[in-house]
Amino acid sequence: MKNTIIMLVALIGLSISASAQIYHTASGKISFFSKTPVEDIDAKSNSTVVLLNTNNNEVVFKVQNTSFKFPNKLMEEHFNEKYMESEKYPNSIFSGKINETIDYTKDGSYDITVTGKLNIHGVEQLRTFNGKVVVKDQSIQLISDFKVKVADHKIDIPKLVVAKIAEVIDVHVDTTLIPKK
Amino acid sequence: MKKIVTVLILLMANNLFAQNDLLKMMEEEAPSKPTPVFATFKSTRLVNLHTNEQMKAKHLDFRIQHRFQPMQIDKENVYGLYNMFGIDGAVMRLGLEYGVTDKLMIGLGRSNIGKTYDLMAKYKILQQTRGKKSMPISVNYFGNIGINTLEFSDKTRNNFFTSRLSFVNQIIITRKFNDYLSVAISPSMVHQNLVENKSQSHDIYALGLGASIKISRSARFNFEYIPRLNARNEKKLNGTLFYDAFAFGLDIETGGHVFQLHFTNGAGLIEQQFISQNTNKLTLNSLRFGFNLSRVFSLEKEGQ
Repeated sequence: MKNTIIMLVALIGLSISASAQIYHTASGKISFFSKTPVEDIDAKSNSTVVLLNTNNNEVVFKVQNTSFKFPNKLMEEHFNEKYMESEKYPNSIFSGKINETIDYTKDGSYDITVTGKLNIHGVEQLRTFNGKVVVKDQSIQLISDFKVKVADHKIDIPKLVVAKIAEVIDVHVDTTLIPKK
Repeated sequence: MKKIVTVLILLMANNLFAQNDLLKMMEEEAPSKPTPVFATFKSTRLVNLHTNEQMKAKHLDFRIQHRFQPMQIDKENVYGLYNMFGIDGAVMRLGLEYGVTDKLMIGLGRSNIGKTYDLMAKYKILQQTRGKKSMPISVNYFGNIGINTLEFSDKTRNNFFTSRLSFVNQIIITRKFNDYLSVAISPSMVHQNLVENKSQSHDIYALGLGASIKISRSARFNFEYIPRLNARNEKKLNGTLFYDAFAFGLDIETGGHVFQLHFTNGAGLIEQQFISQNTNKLTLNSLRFGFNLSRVFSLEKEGQ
């Protein structure tokens, strides 16, 4: 009997502490830019889902490709149909770990690097990105700018439009996480 | 001792859970939603028939539909080359079609057959999706009003404006089976307020059948056939029979343009013309070359 009680207490105690370490959001912002002399293309998603485990610095980003909005809807359709093949690969996912130790209880801004797997168009790449963590009033802001080479993810750009779409896409991530209850 | 071991094991298990399952937790937090199926067809038209594709919100389509004269390429026929296989003459429709929302588009057009103006609307009722709990088909409604503005043949009679009107109602059921094959079935009804012959039906029911096969990332092969379900033996005043519309062709897409090049047995440009008023039998002689040209403009402001 005692045994069981200890087990239960341990379980409950641990699960509470485990859930308190998770920060999350479902409205993270990711935007990307493709700049060529012929055409500038930009798109934004405001529904990136992010989970951060402050206990072990693990972080996961997931964005539905169809949530990216383009000013030109024809481009949006081509992005999904021809390049990302969103019916086959609906999500882009990053799962990795922040390399620096951060005191998440103290307000402040920290420069960080994060290493993990970036999965776009069904192709996984091990990447390290520079970024920033801003801790403020119980919320954690994650900011990063990085580049994605389309060829690294086997995204094929036909010769006809090669002048209009950059080979390297600039990506900007800005998300604010709050404790998960 | 046992107790300590148990607690330790639990501790470790819990720790492992916390470390490895952020991805699993992600699946709970953001379950993979069904993805809408896009690009079932390249354009809002297959050849003549409407597809389930809509103009997106705040996007304007300027559309030119062109049908040349019959090619007359039969061996016996000496007029083929003389008329440059039909391109000496043509019928056409100019149209402006606008996406009010992503689900509703409206349009205005004029074709030179019967100097007809048409007002159209198409509404997306169901959207095909992929993933868990997906929707297997897309369903759209299409309707239009045609206004024939030819001078009345007998001006001494008491003529009514309503005699100029004709109406189309159509349900468009489509499914994209895979990257390569999409099909459409469109039960259609054409109503004409005024018909040539007393014995002619005012209501024509037909079943639009269409298929589209992907050839490359920018090209598709399309086919359509629109059998009429009633009034199959009705004739015009001059004794000509009406025939079912048939067409096949290619879509070629280059950025904001879609070129649709095709061969049809009819000259009709809007439903009331090609579904119920086609007087050309399907023969090699009567095939016409035609094209649709679509240019889409985004009226959405940058950065919205």
